[in-house]
Amino acid sequence: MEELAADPVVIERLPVVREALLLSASTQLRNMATIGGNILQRTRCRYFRDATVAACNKRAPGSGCAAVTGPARMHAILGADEHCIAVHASDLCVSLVALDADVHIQGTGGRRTVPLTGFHVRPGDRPDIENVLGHGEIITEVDVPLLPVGTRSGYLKVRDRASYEFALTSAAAALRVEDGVVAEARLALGGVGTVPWRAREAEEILTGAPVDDETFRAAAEAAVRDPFTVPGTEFKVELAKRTVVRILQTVSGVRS
Amino acid sequence: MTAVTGSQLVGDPVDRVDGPLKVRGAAPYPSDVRYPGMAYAALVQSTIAAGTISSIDTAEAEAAPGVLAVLTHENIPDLAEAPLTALGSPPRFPLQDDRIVHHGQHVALVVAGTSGQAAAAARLIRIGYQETPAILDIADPDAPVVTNPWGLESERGDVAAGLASADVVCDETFTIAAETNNPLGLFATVARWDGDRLVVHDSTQWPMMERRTLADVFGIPEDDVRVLVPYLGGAFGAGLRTWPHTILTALAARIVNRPVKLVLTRPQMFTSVGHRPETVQRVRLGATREGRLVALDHEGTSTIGTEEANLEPITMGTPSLYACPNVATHDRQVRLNIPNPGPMRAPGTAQGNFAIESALDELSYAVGVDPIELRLRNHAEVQPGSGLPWSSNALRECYLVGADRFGWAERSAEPRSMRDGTELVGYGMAGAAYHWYQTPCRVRISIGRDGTAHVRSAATDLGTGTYTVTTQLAAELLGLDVGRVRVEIGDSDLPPAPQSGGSGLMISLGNAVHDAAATMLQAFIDAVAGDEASPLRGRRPNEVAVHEGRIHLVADPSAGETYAEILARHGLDEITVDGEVQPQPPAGMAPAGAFAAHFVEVRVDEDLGLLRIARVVSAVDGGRILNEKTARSQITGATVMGIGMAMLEETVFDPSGRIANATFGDYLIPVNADVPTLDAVFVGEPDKSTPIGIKGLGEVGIVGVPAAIANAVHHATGRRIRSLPITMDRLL
Repeated sequence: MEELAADPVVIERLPVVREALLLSASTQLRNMATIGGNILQRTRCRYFRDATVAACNKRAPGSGCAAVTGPARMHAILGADEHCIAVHASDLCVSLVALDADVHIQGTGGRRTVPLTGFHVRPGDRPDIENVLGHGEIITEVDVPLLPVGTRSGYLKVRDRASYEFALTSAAAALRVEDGVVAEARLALGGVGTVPWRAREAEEILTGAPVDDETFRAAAEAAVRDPFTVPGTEFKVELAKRTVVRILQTVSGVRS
Repeated sequence: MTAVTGSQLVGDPVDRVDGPLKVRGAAPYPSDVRYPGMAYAALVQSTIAAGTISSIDTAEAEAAPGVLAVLTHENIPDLAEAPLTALGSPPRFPLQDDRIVHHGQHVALVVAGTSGQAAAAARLIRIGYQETPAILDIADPDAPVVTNPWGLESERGDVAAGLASADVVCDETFTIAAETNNPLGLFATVARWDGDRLVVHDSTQWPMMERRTLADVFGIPEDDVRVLVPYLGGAFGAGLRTWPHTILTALAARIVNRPVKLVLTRPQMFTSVGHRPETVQRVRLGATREGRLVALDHEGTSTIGTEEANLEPITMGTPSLYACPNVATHDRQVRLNIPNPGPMRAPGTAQGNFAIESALDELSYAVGVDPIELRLRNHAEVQPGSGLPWSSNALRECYLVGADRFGWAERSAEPRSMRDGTELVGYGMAGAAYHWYQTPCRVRISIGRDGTAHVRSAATDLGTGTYTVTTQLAAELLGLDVGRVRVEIGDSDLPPAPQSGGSGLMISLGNAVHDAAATMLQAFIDAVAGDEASPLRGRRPNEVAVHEGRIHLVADPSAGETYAEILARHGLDEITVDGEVQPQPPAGMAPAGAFAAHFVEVRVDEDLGLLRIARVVSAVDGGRILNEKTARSQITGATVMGIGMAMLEETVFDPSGRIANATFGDYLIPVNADVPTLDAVFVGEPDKSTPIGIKGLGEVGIVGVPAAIANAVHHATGRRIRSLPITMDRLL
């Protein structure tokens, strides 16, 4: 991860990827961590990770979800339901889904390519299945299309601790602005989804709209549609919207 | 006894004498201890919070590779009661019956040839439970309540009348989440029996208490127990108890007849060695229009286990804080099915201060008086109640010097009135006091023919600098270079010393060293009393001084001789003396602990609820400071802990009574990025309560930091947060 963050092309053309990388984990961990490994990281839930908790649909499908009734904070509000609210905690994946990255997979039966937006699977009633990687398959390559020249991008991570901590909310954005109007928009959210969360409806609102706070707020509302919250995660609905507004302000230059 | 001569207020910033050993990884911590043939233990803990064990099947575990023994309530012998300590009754020992009183209670200990084998076998134990409803909420009306648990409730004057007469009354409730001590060093025990003699290497702050506890529990003489802890990877109060896992490890060693080692896992550190309990406080302040306090009522409630004791004196210091004629305090504990709390840095005081100093900030706004001016108007020139002069009190100087260094004068009082770009800026402050505490302590010092001194006492160094400052103090008092003094501690076979806790170790150990040094000088003078070759013959201690190992006449420094010369001429290998201190509150004055004032600047990004600490200035009256560097580290380290308490730390219990965030991934402590430049300055003068003039510094650094942060948040945002930690959801 550290190597990719230092890549000259990434620095020049994909600031959103570089920022997401550098806000992940710690330098020591980034030195060791791989891109495929990051994509395949398990979702985070402190009930899932403690085997003494009996109710976990991810560990034992059908056993229930302790997180829905227990104290929750680092949990998902999008793509979540009463079966599972474990969050996909990757920063990198948030930037990569915004960029329409492709995942190349090698299996015993041959090669295939899956868009990253379709790689991770929402829990539904099978939270134990987190992605489409099959038995005997490995990730060999990740293709990241470059943004058109003139596009500005960035990543914002909001968290309790200033460093070495997962996001409560995050947002990856890329905007190409022409004459005060958004010509092209990419937006994805982190810290809130059971999968890295691409906000296509928000992108549609942004595209063709004037670069101003009203547009950004409308996009934010669209990005956090129909959240599933529990008492400990209710605040993330508004926080996620404000995170979207802030990254759009930053990337568009409305706010330095 | 005479006062220390020639000492400046702030001692030299001598590097840690144990630093090189630690940097090289050569300091033997309890978890580093190995013996030939040593076996390893792993704990099994309850997964319910209340009920009984209906079945426990250990057959599969016992048959697992390498397993030597499985200890459960069904097969261990009855053990005797552990003794009471200054902290109250001992922790409940869990394997004496089938009852479960909290989630994470130890229910079995597996002993095997390797730690991996022990951990693997521990997972093979099948336990059936008969669950009963657990009480987990501090507000649960069914929870048993203990009132006035320590007999410390107090009242002077008439609080009701005072409140009735007040121009302004603030009546607010403050809550603080449970926190966990989380020393970096995982607690470890290595126990070895040699016949009926027991040696225990353990993560303890109190070897003498542990020795007595183990002797009582196993029914052997205290002299047959040796507790060793030369180095300790932190504890913050968690090492002030002899916990069940230590006793279980010693028991296991006896049963398998091999040395046994147990290292707690990080999650087990949350359930096995105490925590700062959750608290609820109500503070009622009554004041005149000018902000002079006329009444102060402080009620503190903390959580506690169902059957155990914990000293959490939230309101104990309140009567002495400010010059207020009518003060009452009330203490309550609520019994819950939780792992029993224990001391955590400034237990009770850290929480009590948050409520009082927050309430004072509210009062300052209610009456329109600057927070520092308000405190000055209510400053306790003498100890309230007794009217006695303090043995030292530079709290006023703490306010003023701290304010000056911080630039408090730049503050505009109105909340939300200061900005930097899009960020709100807030300045907040709080005063702090920590109580005086001293206990009996003994020390033995030898000076050998090589001219070096060997100082020993059963004290401990938590990592805070006991080795270093004891070396410095002994060197100064014996007239030796620091490099010619060796300090040995962390061994219960050495002269008895108290715990490193309650900010009371150095005032106890330091004065024992002072006593021993005086005896040492007398012993050398006695040695030459009839020695015609000695220029010191017939002199009294007050006629001589020692410099670089040479005793000389004060009136004629050229007349003298070295320790080594005296020993050699008299055919002595060494002279050994004992020193002792029995604490006696000084006559005619009120013994004072440390005081401090903390000043904090915060930045708040209001859109995102992001709170960051921009800088902290602490002005501290610790009496005489032995070592500027270790003292500063005590203050800045405690400030970091205060930042954690204010912003991040919260031990979360889920509805089953399980601690839901018992890992460093889920329980957040500050990282470097959360901690700004920390400035600590020492003010005041040597304390008059003891000859060496010092006051304990281990805890005052955390006291006041959370209130100063919360007060700064109010100044920045206009929001008064009365609940810790102040997380972003509370600021959105």
